[in-house]
Amino acid sequence: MKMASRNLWRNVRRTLITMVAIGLGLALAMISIGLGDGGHEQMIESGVRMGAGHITVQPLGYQKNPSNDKIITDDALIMEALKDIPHVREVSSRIVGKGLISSAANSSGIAFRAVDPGKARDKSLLAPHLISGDYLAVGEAGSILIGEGLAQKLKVSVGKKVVLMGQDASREVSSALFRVKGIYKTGVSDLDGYFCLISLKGARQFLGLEQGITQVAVYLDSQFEVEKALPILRSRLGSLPVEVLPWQEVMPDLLRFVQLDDAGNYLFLGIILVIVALGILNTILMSVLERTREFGMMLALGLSPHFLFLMIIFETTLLALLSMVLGGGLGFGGHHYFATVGLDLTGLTPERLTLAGTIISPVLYSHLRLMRIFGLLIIIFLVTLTTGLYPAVKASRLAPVKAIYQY
Amino acid sequence: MEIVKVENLRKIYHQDALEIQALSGINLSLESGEFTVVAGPSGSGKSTLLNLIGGLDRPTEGRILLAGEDITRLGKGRLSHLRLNKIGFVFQSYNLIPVLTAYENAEFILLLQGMPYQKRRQHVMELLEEVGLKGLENRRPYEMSGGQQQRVAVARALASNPDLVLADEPTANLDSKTGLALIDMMLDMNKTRGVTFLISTHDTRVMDKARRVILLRDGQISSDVRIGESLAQNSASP
Ligand SMILES: Nc1ncnc2c1ncn2[C@@H]1O[C@H](COP(=O)(O)OP(=O)(O)OP(=O)(O)O)[C@@H](O)[C@H]1O
Ligand SMILES: [Mg+2]
Repeated sequence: MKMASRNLWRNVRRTLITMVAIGLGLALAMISIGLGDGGHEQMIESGVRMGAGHITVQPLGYQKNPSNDKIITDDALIMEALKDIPHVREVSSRIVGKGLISSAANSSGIAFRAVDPGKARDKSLLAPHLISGDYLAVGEAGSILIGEGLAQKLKVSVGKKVVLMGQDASREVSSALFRVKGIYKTGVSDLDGYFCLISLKGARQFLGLEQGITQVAVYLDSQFEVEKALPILRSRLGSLPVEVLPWQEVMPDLLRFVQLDDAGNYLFLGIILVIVALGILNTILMSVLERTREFGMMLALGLSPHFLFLMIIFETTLLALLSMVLGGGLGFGGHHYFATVGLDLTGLTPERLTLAGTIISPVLYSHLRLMRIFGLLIIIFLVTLTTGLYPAVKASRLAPVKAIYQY
Repeated sequence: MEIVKVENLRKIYHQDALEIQALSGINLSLESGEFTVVAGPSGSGKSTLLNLIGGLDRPTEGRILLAGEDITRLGKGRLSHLRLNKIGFVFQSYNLIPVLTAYENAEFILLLQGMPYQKRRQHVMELLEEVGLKGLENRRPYEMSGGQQQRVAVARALASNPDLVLADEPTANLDSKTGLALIDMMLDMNKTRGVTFLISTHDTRVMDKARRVILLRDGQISSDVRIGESLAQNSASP
């Protein structure tokens, strides 16, 4: 074993080059996994924030066929059932729907969302983007927030009146008057030209409801708790006429995008691994060929081929471990940098990034999960070991005489 | 006691379509404690003979008995085991493992045999002193002269107290003074330890030191002379 480690240092430059190659491969893989995962998590988080929570509770059949008359009437029962569930940080009840908004000048189809104006989480969504006016106030029913694009189309400004029209809970067409309380600008044209925010109270008046909601957005501590929380929620709400869906089912486009992007990243990782493997194969094979005579001599002395095989495998293992320490250090450094400072893509994108209907922050933060690192380390280790096998077998099959007398 | 008995040994190498008769019918017997030199011109089959006796290669025909055991019938693993325990090798060059020190090189075989540390250390230090390398234990091969390297190789060959030490042209890469000193050292070992040596060479001065000289020519023994018998007969042979 001492021999194996000394053998590695015999050709210091080659060993170092290989170590750097494996190390850089690992580091690159770690950074790319970190940024990929981090980016996806940010994307999902933002999708979840903009959308309907990590888990959405809505009337049975709403996902397939949404309509304004599908209402959860006994929302109090649901709110009661959602109390004190582990992993659940916050719930927000909403009424969502589609309708037609008109001003004196123009009209436009929109999607509206009604929230409790007192809920900080819902407020944090649009309040920072307000360019004029204010956020909805608690208690008022007739206020509406619209986007800049819609305001321009309708030729309205803060304080002006608009009429919202749509199918109510009893499938009749109803309308209600709203006053523009604020105008926001997110930079996402889908939102700015299409999405309106009103209060629950206002929505109930508009839809002719005494009570009831159409959706409960459940926010968890993190996106990784969905699988744990989902069955608990489902069992608690099992007796009610609602469907409990994870974000993956509510936002299938986002899921598909993340999966596709992941597949791309894996391909990239695969290529890195192949390059790393070739690098190792080259080093080990060269170093074995170079020592043919030496191995032949050792075999002649009575060293068992088995032992020689193990020695070369040990050399490879040592090389892999050293490289992994190097690469792990580099990769972790890179990851740490991108996790704290972030990768700023602002320069690359003239407009704000929107993907699958969600805003993506132009600064990407790396996030590495321990499981992923372990997986990666094991894969690189196995790749290294497998590549060491061929030279090791080759060496242990040497015929001593031929090896000694070859010049 | 008879250590080596070679009967009707033939070795044919196949090179492309060519058949090369390296050994054509060798009969030979070595007594325990003998110091024998195999001489002969280049290509006469010296290396081939030593390799076959050492179990490094297999003959085309014939038998080789080592301490009564026919080694031509042994499997690969048994042969390897036999080389480790019964035979010491000294090659012409590149004898030592470059990454190991003189001490570690001499220790190599004992390590493979699994001798305990204390015993091993004492034994190896003793041997290195005997071959005149006291104080150089921690040198790596490239820090030693050719002669010193060959001495380490001899120490290693002797470490396991083998029945037979085979040395194929151990002096070929040394200047003649160093080479002769190496042979003297081997003769010493032969005397004090009673180890059987079989050495190949084409250096006549090395032959002069031997107590038995076997002359090979074209794969056959052309003369086999023990010192004390007529030297004239030796030089008169063609
Ligand atoms: N592996 C081999 N393949 C083919 N022919 C070989 C092989 N090894 C040796 N020979 C041939 O067998 C013959 C005997 O070779 P050998 O090496 O035994 O001679 P030698 O007496 O040791 O010569 P030298 O003094 O040059 O070392 C030579 O003709 C050589 O060319
Ligand atoms: Mg030879």
